[in-house]
Amino acid sequence: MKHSSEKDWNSIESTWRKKMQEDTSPVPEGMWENLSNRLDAEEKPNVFFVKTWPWAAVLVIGLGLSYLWFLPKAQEFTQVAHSSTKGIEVQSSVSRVQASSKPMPNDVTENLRTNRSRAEILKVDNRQIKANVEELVALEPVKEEVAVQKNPAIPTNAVEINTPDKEETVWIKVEIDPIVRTSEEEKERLTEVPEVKKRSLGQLLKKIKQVVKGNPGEWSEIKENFHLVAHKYVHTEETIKQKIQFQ
Amino acid sequence: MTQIYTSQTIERDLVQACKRRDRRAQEAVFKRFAGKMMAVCKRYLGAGPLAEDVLMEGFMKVFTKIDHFKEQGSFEGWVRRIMVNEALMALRKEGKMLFQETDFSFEVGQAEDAIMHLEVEELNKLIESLPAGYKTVFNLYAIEGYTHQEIAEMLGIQEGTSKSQLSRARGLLQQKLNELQV
Repeated sequence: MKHSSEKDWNSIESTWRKKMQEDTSPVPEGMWENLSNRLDAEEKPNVFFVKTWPWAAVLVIGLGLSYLWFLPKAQEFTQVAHSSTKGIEVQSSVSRVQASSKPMPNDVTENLRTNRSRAEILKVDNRQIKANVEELVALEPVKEEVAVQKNPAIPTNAVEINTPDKEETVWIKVEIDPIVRTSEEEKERLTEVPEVKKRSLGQLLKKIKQVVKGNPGEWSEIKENFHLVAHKYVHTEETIKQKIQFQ
Repeated sequence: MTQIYTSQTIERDLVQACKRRDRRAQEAVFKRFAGKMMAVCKRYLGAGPLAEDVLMEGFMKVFTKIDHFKEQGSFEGWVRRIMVNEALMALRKEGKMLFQETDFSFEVGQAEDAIMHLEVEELNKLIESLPAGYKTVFNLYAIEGYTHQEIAEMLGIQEGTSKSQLSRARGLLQQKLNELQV
């Protein structure tokens, strides 16, 4: 009985299904317009993104380039500020080297005192710098203090030497004419510096080892070598920077 | 046969155009199926703004997810399935998805021939008078043609619950039909 009624219901439902599948109901007016507006709103953000992303990319690239453009300038600024403060220290330490220093040629002091343009002043001959500074360094009392300077000296081409009692200014003029120097010289100069540095460093390390082993007699030599190495490092760095600047 | 082929071709072209986000094709699809789908929504939710909202959401889903339609089965069947799912979601949100477990059981009697010849409007009224749980299961099984297993998965209930709900729905319908005949 139950089984037959189940069958009956299935056939009834099948008939109903056919009827109901085709059943329709009135749709409220304006529904399509609302739906169309919603579809527009749904699609708009994508269009906006497609239109704006190239501009966003250009903006990001522009910002990146401008950052890279201004980055060296910022470094230069900090370098100038740093080296100028260091320069004062150098001046005070070197101030003890008074009488023994050579008098500066008149044209150099004039050039410096008449505020020549920075480009002119920066024409530094590294060899002259090296020679002059080594000469200064060779004077015993200042050696250690100057050696402490790890950063390059003032980017100007002179070191002022002052004393509280007896004021005497010693100017070291350093000039570089990059046009005069040949490419071979340039190559030689750039290649020879690291070797000297290496050699000096090697010597210094050897002597430090000896002191550690118990030979205190080498200490003054180590100081001297350390001082030389530091100076060579400073000059090499400065030379490279100037080279980059000229380029 | 030629007419069916033409109708299928038109439907396929409409679907392709809808996939390209062609607004005129979307409008044509809406006009083609909106009436039928409105009837589906009303069967589950009753006449009112909720059914209209569900119809709107259903068509939004149809047009935004049309790329998922594989064009292997009937497009109308796919649209109908979306509408049914939307209606069930709305029922859940409204808290109307209640499946009554009544103590008394109906004696499902033999269906009479008269029931077969009921008009759609009368049928709709009868179904509308059923409790929410019975109505949902009856609609899914008898009108949409889902199996008890599918219904159980869709509603998150036991298969047995689906069967018992259907049985009770049938019993209530027969009772109502008997009352009408008296």
